[in-house]
Amino acid sequence: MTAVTRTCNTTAVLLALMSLGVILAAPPARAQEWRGRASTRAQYVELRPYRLDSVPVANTTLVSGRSTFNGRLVTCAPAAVYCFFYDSDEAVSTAPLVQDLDLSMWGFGVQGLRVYVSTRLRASLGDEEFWPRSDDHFDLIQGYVELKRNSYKFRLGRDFQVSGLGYYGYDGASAEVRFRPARIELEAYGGWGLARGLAEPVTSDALASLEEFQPRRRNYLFGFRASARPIPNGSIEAIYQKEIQTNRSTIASERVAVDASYRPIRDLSIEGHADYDLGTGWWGKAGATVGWSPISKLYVEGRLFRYRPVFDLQTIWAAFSPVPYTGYGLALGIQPRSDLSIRLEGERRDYADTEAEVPFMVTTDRSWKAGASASWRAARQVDVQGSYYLDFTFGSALSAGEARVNVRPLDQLSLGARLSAFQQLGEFRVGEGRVWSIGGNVKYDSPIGTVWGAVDRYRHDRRDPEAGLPDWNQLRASFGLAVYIGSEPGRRP
Amino acid sequence: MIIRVGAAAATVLLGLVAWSSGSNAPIAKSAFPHLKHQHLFPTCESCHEVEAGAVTIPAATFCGACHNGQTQPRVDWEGRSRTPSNLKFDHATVIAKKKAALGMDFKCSTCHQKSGGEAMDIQRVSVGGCLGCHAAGKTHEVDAPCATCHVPSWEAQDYTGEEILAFPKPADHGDNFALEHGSLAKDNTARCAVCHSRDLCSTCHVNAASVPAIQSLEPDPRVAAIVSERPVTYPIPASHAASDWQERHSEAARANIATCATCHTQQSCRSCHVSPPPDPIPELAPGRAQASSVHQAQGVVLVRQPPSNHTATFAEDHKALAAAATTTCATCHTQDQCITCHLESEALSTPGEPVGRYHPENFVMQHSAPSFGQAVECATCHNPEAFCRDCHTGQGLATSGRIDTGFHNRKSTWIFGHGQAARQGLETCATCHSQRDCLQCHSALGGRRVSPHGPGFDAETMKSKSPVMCLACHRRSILD
Repeated sequence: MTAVTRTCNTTAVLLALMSLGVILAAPPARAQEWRGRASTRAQYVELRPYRLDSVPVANTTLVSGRSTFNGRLVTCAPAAVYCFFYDSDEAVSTAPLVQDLDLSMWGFGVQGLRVYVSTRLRASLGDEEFWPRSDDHFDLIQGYVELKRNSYKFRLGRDFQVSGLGYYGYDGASAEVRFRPARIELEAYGGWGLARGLAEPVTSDALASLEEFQPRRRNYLFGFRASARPIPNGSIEAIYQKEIQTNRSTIASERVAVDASYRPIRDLSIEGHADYDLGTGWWGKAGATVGWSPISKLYVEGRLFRYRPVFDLQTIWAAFSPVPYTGYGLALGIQPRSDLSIRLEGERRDYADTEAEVPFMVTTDRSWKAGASASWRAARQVDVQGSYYLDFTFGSALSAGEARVNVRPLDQLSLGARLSAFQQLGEFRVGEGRVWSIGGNVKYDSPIGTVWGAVDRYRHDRRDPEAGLPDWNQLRASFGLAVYIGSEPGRRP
Repeated sequence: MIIRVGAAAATVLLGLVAWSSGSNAPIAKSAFPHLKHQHLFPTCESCHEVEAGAVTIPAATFCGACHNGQTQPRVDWEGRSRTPSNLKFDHATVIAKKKAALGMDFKCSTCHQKSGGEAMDIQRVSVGGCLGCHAAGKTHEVDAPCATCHVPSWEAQDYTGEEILAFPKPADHGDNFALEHGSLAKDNTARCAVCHSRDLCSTCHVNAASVPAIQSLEPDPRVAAIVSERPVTYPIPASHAASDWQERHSEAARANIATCATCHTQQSCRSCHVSPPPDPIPELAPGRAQASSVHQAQGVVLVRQPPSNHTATFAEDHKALAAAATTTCATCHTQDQCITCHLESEALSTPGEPVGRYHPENFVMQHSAPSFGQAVECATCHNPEAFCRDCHTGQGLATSGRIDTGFHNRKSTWIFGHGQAARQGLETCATCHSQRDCLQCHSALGGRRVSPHGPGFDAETMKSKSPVMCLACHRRSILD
């Protein structure tokens, strides 16, 4: 952890703790209330990491024009002394643990005043190397003081925005005003930005893989959001957000997005969204969805969409000209009987011309997705579900199916068993065989929360033993506990 | 129609007369044949005596003086049972007043003898006769001032709770009366009190303690014992049936929460609204959980139901709706729900729980195709460098500075043909490859100097926004 990151995190933690301390030290008001959530999630996983191995060229043999070693395909560069191949390493196991703690407090004698703190702690009963983020033991996800009234809302501290632009966190402040009954909301927010999809600043060690491209000082982030409901059942939002690199006087990102939703009649919904990257001059994602339910037992949804990923300008990725794809999809939900529901969906995508095709290696520029699922309530306490999913895209393809049955011998207790299988092509390679799994799960709803556990055993029937891809023969188990205490104990959010 | 109303009115009238005629009411066990005894008992006072509050009725033994089996055959008449009454009518008072007004001519027969009938040919008193003076121009069942003649129900001690609850319903108590009675009750609680005690109102009104009209009524344990165990069905106002009521009800609540307070407690609202409850919900009664032990309505019990737009794929499709109606989402959802998926999402799925099930249990094994396809942007929730690359490094997939051939399609020519795949799935590349990997070839400063710029690359725009990005591969002179 860099000194800057440490300082920033410490500042955020101190800010939250100071706010908490001031409020706890204040004389208790009559209506003081709090609500807490503790969510524990643990799992046991077995992994077989990749290992790059090598063999002297002299020890390889040519089979059908390709170099092999002990029957295994190897890659030999021209004039190289060694040939290389990837293989699964020894199996390792680890048990990552994630603990979320949330605390919301209000009723301090000031109407609308609230303090909220949300933290995430991680640990691993095993090697932290094999599970993402296990080595980052603490995140302050949110920690702010809020003053909320009917017509306005202020927040001070660590907060995030989930908008048409995605998830962005910041250490700063936000102010929102609402105009009723015109249903207009205006919000401005800003501060020191956090990395995209991460509760850490861009200076954090968690982003050390950026190497020389990692900013040495935190970015400024600010934005404006406006939303309105100009017509009944219709709402629209526009957001502008800019992130500035403080040490280079250049921007990391500058984007706008518009999202709209409209339900002209009860059975018809229309949604649309689009975002534009002012930094690159590219349209990003856009889409329009129409959902129609002419009768209660039928739902039809059509989608048109476009996708282009977003890259911050503090990296070089945008210079590589990622191309968008456009697509369309159709989904159908039917309920032929009150205890049976079926959903079918299909989707096709077409990538734009990359202008990088070469004759000796053409990648498909068309993708397909299809899925079918059914849910049957066989008895009042018994649910049976089945699904099949097919995804055929460039670089990879997946065919997966699953069947599960859930039984509720008590209102609070659920027992389940599941059987699944999948087959996939990975990383532009050959098929790696079929993976089967059988598992079971249990869930118990107590008056104050939920506890659950699941165990799955996977068996990997390798179709191509030379694929050199991960070995999925393994055992996985998971455990979770979510408790809600304080105001409305046990009430799920 | 008029006939039908008239018939209904007559029925109600007769019913009320039956309840309210006090000592002149029909004999319940067996009517005494007055006319048959007209010569034996020449005056009413021979048998009846007017006392304060009632008129005496002879005991059955009084009959036995003659009906002893010798003088007259025995009879099984056991004496008249008193009929319950909620009338304010008191014979002694009325007789005294009438005598004062009419002189000594006022006798029992003035009211009870049939017109033109013989002595002892008696009848029950017609209520219409009372109304002729006491409520001139009004009809008994609709707009008569009931309290003029009737005592409040809690004072009608002759009745059981069941009998009070079975009082006939006036004609103006129509199907929608439960929704419409407010203003009527507010202005005329005395009329309500004839049939209703506070406990009956408290069955539905969760704010009964703060409604003056209800508090003006007295409690009645006889009624409370029954209604407290009785299920309550709340009528649904027409406004609540509107298709956008769920979305727009907050305006009505803010405009006049007192209207909601009749049927709804905080518990009603909190079935959807997360804590802390927004204004003006705290102004409502807290709900049964915090109610006193006194009989109190539970209020409308609402079950949290996802809106119809929360379809099976809502987790994937909610972007536009959530962005365009943030405040609406915040009604039922807390931010910790957002981060369950929107932040790193190493959160494991909970069996049977919609939240936390964004990815299926074994998604890590299957995420290759969805990652290449990018139906939704993985980077929204997973920082590619901190999350994806962190894991891929541990799995031996990630590289930094060294490109080993043979991974992707196990062909050494991959490096020369990867452009199409890279431009179609660049974010996927970034989950294993560092920028330094690519700069070994794609830099104007060295290496193979292969330009990475492709279709749509707007050098001027990017240079104006982030010149330092250009300097990663180009000399400073490019900025000139």
